[in-house]
Amino acid sequence: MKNNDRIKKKDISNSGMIHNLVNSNAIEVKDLKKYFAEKKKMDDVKAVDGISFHVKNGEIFGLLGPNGAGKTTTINILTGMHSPTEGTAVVGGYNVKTNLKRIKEIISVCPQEPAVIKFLSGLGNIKFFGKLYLMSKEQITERSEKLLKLLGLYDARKRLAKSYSGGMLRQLSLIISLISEPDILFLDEPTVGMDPRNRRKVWEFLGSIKQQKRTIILTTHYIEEAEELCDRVAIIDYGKLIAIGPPKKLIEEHEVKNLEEVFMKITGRRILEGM
Amino acid sequence: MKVKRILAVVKMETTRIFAEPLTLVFTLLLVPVLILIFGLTMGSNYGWHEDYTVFEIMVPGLLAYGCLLTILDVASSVAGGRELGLQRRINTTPLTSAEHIFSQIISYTIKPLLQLLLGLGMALIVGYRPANTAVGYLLVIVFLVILTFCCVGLGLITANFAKSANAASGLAFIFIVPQQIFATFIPPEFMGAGTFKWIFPSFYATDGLGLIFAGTPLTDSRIWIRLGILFAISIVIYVIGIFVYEKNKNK
Repeated sequence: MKNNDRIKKKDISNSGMIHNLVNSNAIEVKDLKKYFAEKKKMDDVKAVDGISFHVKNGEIFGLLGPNGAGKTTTINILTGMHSPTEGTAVVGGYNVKTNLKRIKEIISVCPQEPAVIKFLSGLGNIKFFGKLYLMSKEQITERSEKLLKLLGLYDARKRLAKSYSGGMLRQLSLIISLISEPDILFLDEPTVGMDPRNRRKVWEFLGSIKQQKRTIILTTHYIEEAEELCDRVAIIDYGKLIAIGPPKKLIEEHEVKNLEEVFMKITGRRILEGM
Repeated sequence: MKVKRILAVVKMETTRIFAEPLTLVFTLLLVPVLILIFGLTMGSNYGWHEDYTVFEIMVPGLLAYGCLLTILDVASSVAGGRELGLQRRINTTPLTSAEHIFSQIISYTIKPLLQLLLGLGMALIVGYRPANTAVGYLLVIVFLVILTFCCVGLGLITANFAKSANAASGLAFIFIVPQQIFATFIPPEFMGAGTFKWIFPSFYATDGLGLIFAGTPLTDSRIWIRLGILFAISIVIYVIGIFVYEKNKNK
């Protein structure tokens, strides 16, 4: 890693604060906007409309909001899938507009859909993605065995992915995103469609990753998932950031029982209504 | 470009090609079976062209036709990957577009080369006797590799317009059929497309292969002009293919 490529301290200020990007913040987002031109419509769709936040190193940060709120678009910008219309996004000290190549070496993404290669076995998938990160055979073997056992897929590792159930595919997708031991991990609705037992298993697993001080950005519309796992959450609605902070603090500040009620108090509707 | 990444994608794509044995057998046997049928029925006749036997037109043309099927493979692979979200996932890894596409060229060259082996083997069995040398065969391989390279570009362009693997398979025939009819194993003049043939890359491969198999000295400028034009067209198509791929890879 070339640290001298990274954006130096004081390069970005967020709400007047100066952050040391290399030492304390894994992600810096400042006034980020993403507009999509829509056919047959005069106005652009404002998927992300001027949001600013930062994510500290080693933090599990939740992006919470109903469907279409702008969570996935934000992640897509941070992972280089979309270029921002305006604003700045810095990941691991690298600007997404100018240093995407470096960013891709330190991040990993577990997308919403379990994007795995169906004609390869579970292990074959893990090996393939491990090689894309230039991992050695030994590293891949050691790490994959550990992850497969932790998520309970070890016995099914040699089966073709096309024979996996939906839950197994999601777990495999999660393992793939962890094989490279990324500094920053993006999890886009990692437990959607999972049964409660498997969801709990994934939560426990993500809790164990937390001990490794890995930065995780998690999008979800499961309130209990965010409350259980996240150090801080940002609630997004219609592309705007409407609240940010530790779940407990937000609940206390708004004098409600849970994050769902925080959202309801601010917007007048429920998160799950958007689904 | 990192060799390890390229080999990983080549291995994955090759596994994909071999994952459906029936499709593989069908596409691999298509060329030899056509050679068998045409060869046995009218191989040594001059029925299609006054100067060439059916063999002399058909064998180079069918080998080029085998390469054209790469358009279908690439288009359905790219569109299918996009449909499943796999393409987007791969795009978040350090794999570069150059590495990805270069790997595809290597992977998809395997099939045309196997077709060359099987097709030529069948042609020899049914009585075709090409007059070229061993070096000539190397040049045949060069022609087919360049045509495959061109077809990868056409496959990428096709994938741009398709929303699914199935749609891509259908759309691929827009590029395959005209080339098949006007510039591979059927003489263009026979189809009333004598002047039209020059626009198709497969024509230069077919004609180049025809010259080589006919025993034309390899120093003959006609072979190298055809190779040069094929190469130039392939570069242009490939660049367009990369451009549309880059533009739409995160769709």
